[in-house]
Amino acid sequence: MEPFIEMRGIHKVYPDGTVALRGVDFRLYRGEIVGLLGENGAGKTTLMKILSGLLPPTQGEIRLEGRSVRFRNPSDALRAGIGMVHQIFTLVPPYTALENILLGQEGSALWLRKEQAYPRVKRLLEEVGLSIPLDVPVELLPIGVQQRVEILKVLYRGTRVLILDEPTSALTPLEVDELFKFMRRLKEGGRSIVFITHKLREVLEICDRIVVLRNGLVTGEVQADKATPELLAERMVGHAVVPRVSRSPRPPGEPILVVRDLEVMGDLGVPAVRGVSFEVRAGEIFGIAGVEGNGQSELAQALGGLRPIRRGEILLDGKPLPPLAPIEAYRQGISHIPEDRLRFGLALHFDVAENSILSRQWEALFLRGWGRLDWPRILAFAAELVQRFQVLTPGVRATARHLSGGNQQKLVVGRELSKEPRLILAVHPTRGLDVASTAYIRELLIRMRDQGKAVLLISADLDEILELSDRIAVMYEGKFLSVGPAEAFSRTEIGMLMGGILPQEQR
Amino acid sequence: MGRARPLLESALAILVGLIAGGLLMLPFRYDPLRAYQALFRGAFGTAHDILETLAFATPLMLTALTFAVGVRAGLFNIGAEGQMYVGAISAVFAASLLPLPPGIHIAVATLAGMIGGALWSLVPALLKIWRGVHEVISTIMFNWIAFHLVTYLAIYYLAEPGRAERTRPALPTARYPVLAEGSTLTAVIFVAVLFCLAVYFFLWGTRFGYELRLVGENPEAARYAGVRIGQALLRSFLIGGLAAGLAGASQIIGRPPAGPCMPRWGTWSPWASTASAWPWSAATIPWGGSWPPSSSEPFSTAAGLWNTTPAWSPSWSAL
Repeated sequence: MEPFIEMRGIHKVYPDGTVALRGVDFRLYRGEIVGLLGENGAGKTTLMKILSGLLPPTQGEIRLEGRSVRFRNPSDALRAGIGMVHQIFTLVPPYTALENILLGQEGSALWLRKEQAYPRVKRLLEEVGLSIPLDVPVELLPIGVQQRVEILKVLYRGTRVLILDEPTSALTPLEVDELFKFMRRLKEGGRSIVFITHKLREVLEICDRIVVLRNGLVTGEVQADKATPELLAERMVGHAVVPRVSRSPRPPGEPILVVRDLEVMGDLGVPAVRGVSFEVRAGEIFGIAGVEGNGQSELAQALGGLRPIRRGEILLDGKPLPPLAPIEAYRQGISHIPEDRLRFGLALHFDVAENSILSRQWEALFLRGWGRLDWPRILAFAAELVQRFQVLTPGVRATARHLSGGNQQKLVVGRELSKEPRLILAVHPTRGLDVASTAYIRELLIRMRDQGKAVLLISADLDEILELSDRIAVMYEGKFLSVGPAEAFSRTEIGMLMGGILPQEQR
Repeated sequence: MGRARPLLESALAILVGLIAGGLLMLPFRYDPLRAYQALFRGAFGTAHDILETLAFATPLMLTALTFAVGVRAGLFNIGAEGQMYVGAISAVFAASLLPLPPGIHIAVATLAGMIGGALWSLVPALLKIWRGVHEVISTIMFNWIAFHLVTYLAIYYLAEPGRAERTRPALPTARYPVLAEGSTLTAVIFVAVLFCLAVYFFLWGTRFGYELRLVGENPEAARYAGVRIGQALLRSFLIGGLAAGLAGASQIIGRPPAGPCMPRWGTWSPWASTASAWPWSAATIPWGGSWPPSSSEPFSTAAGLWNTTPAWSPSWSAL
C-alpha cells in the first residue's frame, strides 16, 4: 500500500545553529494512528511542525499521495488536509466554541457565517461522536473540552491527517480515555493521526505503529503489538554509558532540605505537583529526572518562593520556608539557578555589574545608608565574579545582551554559587550551552557538593542526571515514580520511568 | 560608541525630526530653512529669548520626566496632563489662600502642587496594581476628569472676585523670584532641575530605583529577585505625579505675570500639552545614563520609538 504521506531525509537546522533533525524518514498510512515518541529535544515537534507547514525543512522532501509538495504556511497544509493541534491552545477565551471554530476562515463576516455553519458543525460533531456546547464562551469550559474545540477547529477544515502534540499532558485520566475513544473513531472514519508523546503506556495503548526519535534521528520503528516498554525506553534514551564525574567519596550529612507531601498548582488550574516528599542532604546531589512538563518547573518555583503551595511543607534546616517569599528563601540559604536564564535569571539590558546583584540587591553587603547602592563594592564584586567564574565579557559595564549564552549562564551560576548557600536549586543548569561551559558548570556543582552543600538538580537531560547525581528521583505526572541511589538504576529503567512505567510493571 | 552614543542618538533624532518637518512644509510652499531660522532665532536669538525658552522648558522637562520614569518601570503613563492640572490647582490653594511667612510659603505651595499631582496619579496606580487596568486608558480618563474638576474649582471656589475668568493670584510671599528683569524665568527652574537630578540619582543610585528599572526591564526576573512589583509600580507613578505636580505648581508660582493667571485653562486641550510632553520624553530618556556613568546602553527599546520625534532640550541637556 502506498503511504498517504511520506517525508524523506528531513533535516532541520534552526537559525541559531541548533540541529533539530538530521535526516528523518517518516511515513503515514491512511487510517492509522502513529505514535511519535521521544525525549525533550528529540525533534518530534519540529518534524510535525514541518509536516503542518509551520516550519520549512532545511533539507528533505514531503510527498503527499506520491506527489512532492511544499507547504509555505499552515494554510497550505490545511488545504492539503493536514492539521496540527498544539500543546498550547490557540482559542480566543471569550468566544464561543462555534466562533472559535469559524475564526480565521475566509469568507463573509463571522456572524453571517455562524448561521450557515451551525448545522455543519453539528453534523461534524455527530460524525466524530463528540458533544461540545457550542454557545458557551470557551473560557468557561474545562480543559478537556477546550481541547476538543481545538481539535474540532482543525477537523472542520476537512482534515484527513490530525497531528496531536502531547495532547494528554493537561488531561485527567478520564479525559484521556475519552480522547482515545474519539481518536479510534476518527481512525475508523479513515483519518490518520500522529500522536506525539513521551508516555509509553499511552503510546502502546492507542497506536498502531510507533516511531521513536532521539537526537533528531529515527532510532526505532515498530508495530505497536510487537513493542514492549523496555524496547521503546531503550530506543528513546539510548544506551550510552555516561562517565560519572569524579568526586570525593563522602557520606551524605544531615538533611538540609525536607519536602513533605507537597502539592503545587500548575498554570492550567490543575495540580502540577501532586504530593511529593523527599529530602536533600548536605554533600549530595539529588537529581530529579523526567520529561519536561511533569511538574518539575512548578516544584522548583515553589521551592524558590515564586509559586504558591497548595498543601504540604518545605523545611530548610528544619525551619519552614514561608511561601511566596523569594528573599526569605535566599536569606535562609537557598541559591536558585532558574530554569530559564533569559526569563528569570537576567535583565538583558542591564550590565554585568547590575546583573551580578540581581536577587541580591537587598543585601546589606551592597547597600549604604538610605538604600543607596554601594557602587564601588558592586563593581568590585562583579569584577571578582567575572574572574572567578570565567565569564567572558568586555567588562563589568558591558550589557548582558552582548554576552554569549554560555557566559550569561556562567554569570547566573556564579552569582548564585557566590551566595554561600546551604542549598543549591539548579534547574536545567546547562541547557543550550556549548560543551566547555556545560562541563565547567557541572564541575562547579560537583565542587559545591564536595564542599558539603546540598544540591537539588532538576534536569530534562538524562545524561546530566546520571553524570552528577548521588541519588535520583524520576518525576512523572507530578509524582516521584521512583527514588533511589544512582547506581540502582539502569538507563533503560529510568527511560521507562520517564515514560510512566513503574518498576513492578517493568518485569 | 561609548558615552557619545546617547548624544548621537539624540542628535540623529533631532535631525530626522527637522527633515521630516521640512518635507511637510514643502508642498505648502513654505521655505523650511527660513522657518527653522526663525524658529532658532526666536528660541535662542537674544539672551532674553534664551531665558524665555528656559521658562517654557521648565514644565515640559517635568512632564517628560513623568513619562520617562513610567517607561523605566514598563509603564506608559500619559497622565502628566491631569496630574499637572491638579498640581496647579493645589498650588493655587496654598499660594493664594494660606497666609504664611515668606520662604515657608514658597515651600508649602510647591509641596502642595507636588502632592496634588502625586495623589492624582494614585488612582490609576492602584487600578493598575490591583485590577490590572491599563494605565494608558486610566490616565487619559483621569486627564479629562482633572481638566473638568480644575475648571470647576477655578470657577466656583478660587475665582478672583471681580475677575471671574481667572483664579485668585498667588500671594507675593509664595512666588519664586524672577531671575532676570523683564523675563518670565524664575528660580523654579532650579527646583525643576534639582528634582530631575534627584530622580536620576534615585533610578541609578538606589536599591528601589534598581528594582523599578528591573520591573520595567524584565518583570519575571524582578519577581525572581524578590521585588514587590506593585510597590515598584506605585513608586514610578508617584514620582511621575510629583514631577507633573511640580510642573503645575511652576506655572502658578513660578511664572509671572503675577501668577494668578489661569487664562489658559479654557483653551488648553489636554492633548496639546501631553503631545508637547512627548517630544520631551524623546529628549530626556536617552539622557538617562547609568550611575555611575558607564559605557552601557541605557535605553529601553520602547524609548527608541520616541527618538524619532523632533526634540531640542537646552536645559535638560545640561544633565
